[in-house]
Amino acid sequence: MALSVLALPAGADLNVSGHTRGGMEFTGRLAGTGDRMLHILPPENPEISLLGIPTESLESLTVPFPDSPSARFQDELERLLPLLPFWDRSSRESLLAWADSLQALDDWPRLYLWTSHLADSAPEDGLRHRALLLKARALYELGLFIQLDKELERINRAFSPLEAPLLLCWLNAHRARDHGDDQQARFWARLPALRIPVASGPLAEQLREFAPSPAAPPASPSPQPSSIRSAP
Amino acid sequence: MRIFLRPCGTLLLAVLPLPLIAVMPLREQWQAACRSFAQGNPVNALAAFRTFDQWYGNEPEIADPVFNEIRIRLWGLAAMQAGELEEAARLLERWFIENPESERFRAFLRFQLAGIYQNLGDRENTARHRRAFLESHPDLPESALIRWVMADEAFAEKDFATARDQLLQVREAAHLPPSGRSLAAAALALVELADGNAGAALGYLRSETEGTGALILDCWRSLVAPVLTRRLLDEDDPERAAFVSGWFDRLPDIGARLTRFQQALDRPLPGRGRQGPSVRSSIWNAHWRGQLGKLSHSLKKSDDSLNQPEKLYRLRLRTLLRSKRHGASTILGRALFQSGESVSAALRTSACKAAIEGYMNLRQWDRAEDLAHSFLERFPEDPDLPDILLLQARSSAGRGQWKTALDLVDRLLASWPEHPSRHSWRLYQAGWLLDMGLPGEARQAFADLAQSSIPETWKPFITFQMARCLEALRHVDEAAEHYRAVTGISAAAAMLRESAWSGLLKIHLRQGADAAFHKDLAGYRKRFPEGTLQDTMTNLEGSNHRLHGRHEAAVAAFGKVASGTSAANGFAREQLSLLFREARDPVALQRHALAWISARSSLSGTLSATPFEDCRLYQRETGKAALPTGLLQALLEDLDHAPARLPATPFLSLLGDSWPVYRNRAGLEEGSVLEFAEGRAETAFREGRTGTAAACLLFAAHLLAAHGRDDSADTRRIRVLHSADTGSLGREALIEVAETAARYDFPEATPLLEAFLERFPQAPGRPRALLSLARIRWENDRGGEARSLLQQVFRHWPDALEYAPAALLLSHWQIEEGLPDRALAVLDTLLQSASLAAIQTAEALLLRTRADFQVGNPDRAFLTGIRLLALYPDIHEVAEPARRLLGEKIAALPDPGERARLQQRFDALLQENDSSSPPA
Repeated sequence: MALSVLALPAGADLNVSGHTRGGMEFTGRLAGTGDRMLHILPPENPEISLLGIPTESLESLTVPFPDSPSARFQDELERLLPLLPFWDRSSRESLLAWADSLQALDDWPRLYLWTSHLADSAPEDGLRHRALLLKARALYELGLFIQLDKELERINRAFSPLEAPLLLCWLNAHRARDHGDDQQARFWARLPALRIPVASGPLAEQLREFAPSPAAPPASPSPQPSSIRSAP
Repeated sequence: MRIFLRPCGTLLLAVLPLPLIAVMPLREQWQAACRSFAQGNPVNALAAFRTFDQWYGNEPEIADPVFNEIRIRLWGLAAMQAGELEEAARLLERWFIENPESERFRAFLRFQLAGIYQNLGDRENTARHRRAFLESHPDLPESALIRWVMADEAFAEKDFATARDQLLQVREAAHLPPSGRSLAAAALALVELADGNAGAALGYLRSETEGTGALILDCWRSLVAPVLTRRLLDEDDPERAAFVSGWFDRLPDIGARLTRFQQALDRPLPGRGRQGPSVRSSIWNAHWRGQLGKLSHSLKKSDDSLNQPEKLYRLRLRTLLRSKRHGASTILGRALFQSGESVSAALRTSACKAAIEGYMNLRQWDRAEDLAHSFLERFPEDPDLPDILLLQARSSAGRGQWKTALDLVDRLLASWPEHPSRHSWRLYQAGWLLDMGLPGEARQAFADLAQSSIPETWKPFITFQMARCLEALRHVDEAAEHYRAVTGISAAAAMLRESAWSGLLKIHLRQGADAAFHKDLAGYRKRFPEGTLQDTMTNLEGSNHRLHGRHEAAVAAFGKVASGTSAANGFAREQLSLLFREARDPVALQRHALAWISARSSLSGTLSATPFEDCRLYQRETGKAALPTGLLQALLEDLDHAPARLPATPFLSLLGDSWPVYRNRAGLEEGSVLEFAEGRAETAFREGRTGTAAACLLFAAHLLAAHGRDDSADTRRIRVLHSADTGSLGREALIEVAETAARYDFPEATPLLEAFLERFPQAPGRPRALLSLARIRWENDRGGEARSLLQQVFRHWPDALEYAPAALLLSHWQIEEGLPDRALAVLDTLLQSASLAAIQTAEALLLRTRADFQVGNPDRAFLTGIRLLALYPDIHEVAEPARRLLGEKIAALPDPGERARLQQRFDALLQENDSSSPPA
């Protein structure tokens, strides 16, 4: 294993830690990536020394996410994109949670960027499927429908209708409607309200509005305490 | 319920005063007792209190009332906690005797004493102390607990009224926390469920929809939902059952919510008593925990297995079907069916069945059959295969493919001859034979079934079906006997008996038997004063009056039904219209028509064209415009915004008849009615209201066609076909567009005709659609389906214009496909029809001649052919083929004598035809 100490200017706002295949642990602020090297500023003397770790020697990388990632953090994060396969599970989970939050910001290009890389690199089925779904959502919003339909075909193979995540139902319903298949659109829109338990939340609400089902029955004529008490 | 004792005593000690200094010589012994009690060691404490009493009990210092109050109270509580309940009861009773005025601890000790007696099984003393507590301390929270325990005991003894009463008082108790109210609601629901009041149970469970109470009730709803759904279904309340099935949840999720509920119990209760908040909280929380466990146990015990996901899904499917949520049942059924290994084979089969039934109820026969096919292909060894095959057969029957349906049942009977459902399969089969117009075969099938080992309860229904067969076979007296027999079977379902009365009355009506009609109508009304067929019977009464010329009585009878809201209302209105037309009373006709049009919002579906035609008649008779301004404006509004509810062409035709008047009344621009309609269509197209645009263009087409401009008319219709959303077209518009598509061989014809048949199962234009669709099917080499479609027209619409063409086409195709027997049955029925045109009779005779030759009945064939030539020699398109056919057949006769005899007769007939004038 070859570790090198270089003198590069500090500028990153991102702390990382991890260990190498040789068992060496490291931690520090991200200074940069490139030339198959990860450069970090160790906390002991951050102004002068830089640690360069060859990427082929990386075993795992932990990237802690702040509660509200700043714009700079997000930009810096992109420098770690090539190293995504080395991210540990909790970092990938954090990344996915952050990517999920991009939906609310309508930041579809960034959502697409991260989820497509995450989906390609995640070894776990669950995380990969969640990433694929978010990627599909981004594709939908970006209007890349040919690619979206391919992705949906792939995701649909992984889930039975009974287990299909709510977002998958939403995407399937919208695509079916776009294709003029009203019956299939209704199928996906109404299914979450028929499964056990009945889905709830904003997405479920949207699906209900998409294909409204018959209204709930009128309130039950439950006996009032007074009438019961006055009964003989 | 077990009263929670131990922590209360321990906590209680924390607020007690220290023992008095006056008994210092006894201090060590006393302190040992108090220490043990405080440390939660009641057994040692009790021993120490006893020793103390043994050694110092008679000392004068001990008799000090202040010290003695404490000594007896703590000793009693220690005995209680140590499980020496009799000793505890004796000591605490002594405390009450020695401290009659002491208010402090009184409520607490009374509460404990009631619990002690309850645990000792001493009902009398338990009741005495509870009563005293409720009387003396009604505002203390413990009153609610006492009432709850009393409710528990009443529930165990199935005294649901007392349990309900006590729990209702608990629910209204002051200081009851939200969790308590929710639990009380859950307990009340349980009481109501046990007492058989599922509706009331639902009322309690949905009583709180937000806040903490709702949160806690939530897990309760999920636990109780399966049982409650089943009960509501049993009580024939599928709407509410469907609502409750929305609470279904998986057991692990319910468990998680129960845990959250228990955590919520740990919140301190705002206390008011001297024991302080923590003491009371402990008592209450212990109570809630006990109740929670108990309620949970009671519910799970009632049917633990119901909460399994498979059973929940099955119950949900059943609920969806029962509540007529057929679309939802197809969705969930398909989802489960497509979920592969995620569901068991049994659930997969149930789901498939539910989806097929859902499609059948939606009259989406193709989808039902596709799903059945898919199941049969994928799971040919499934034990429920017979059920799926039967559903497939029912689906085929539903779309009129009778032969397929019958064959499938034959296959079922051959493959599973001893299946428990075999008799019900045969029952279906017999019913289909009747529906497909083979009453003779149907009668035999029902008769065979009646001889089988069928359940006794089926016999009235089979008798009823036999009556229908006999009626179709024109054995009217026998049919009436069978109907009458059903009316007299008290064990038969009310609806069946009512239908039998209806059958009987229809026979009397057909026979013109006025006296018998009135007698049996009175009989029906006496037995079914609130019968579901009352309006139908009144319509029959009106028809009977009309038949016998009693105009006023007929108007009264139909008027009674027309003013109601039942399904028979439409028929009554149509009949009233006929009566007023017959009476040549344009004023009454207009009044009736305007009332009918004005009531359109309360009627389902598209308004009939009749009232508009009546208004046109009024206009022609009186020369006045029939529609008042207000109604005219409202109808124009409907034309723009609810075109599917309005028969646009009759309405616009009515306007067209008095166009200048209506144009002024509505404040419309100058121009003809055609310009108005086309202008309105253009505006509607621009605004995306394609339904309105289509209605106006089709009226324009109608107007153009009436002026002989057929091509111009068709261009309008084709524009509708290509520009409008055909899914939003109304009944008349859809059939018109579909027929245009069929006329031009457009590929849209088939889906449009199918959409019409699917969307408007009761539409009067149905025979037209069936006839058009049958022709398309025949041209596409789908002869079986084509014949099935015509069979429907032949069977159900004997009065339709399409009846004779359909019957002629059907028998023609039957002959071509080598089914002359069936053709002869159709032709025999057709030839008895009174309304046949001459050419239709001639065609029927020619077809019968051909069929008779095919079945090997040349005698009747020659007779029929000769009769045809004798009666209709001038209808060349029929007479020519008949001549050729007879000539060929005579020439082919093997017996020369016979050949010569017939040839002679044939030549004479031809000669006679040539020399005589055409017959009338």
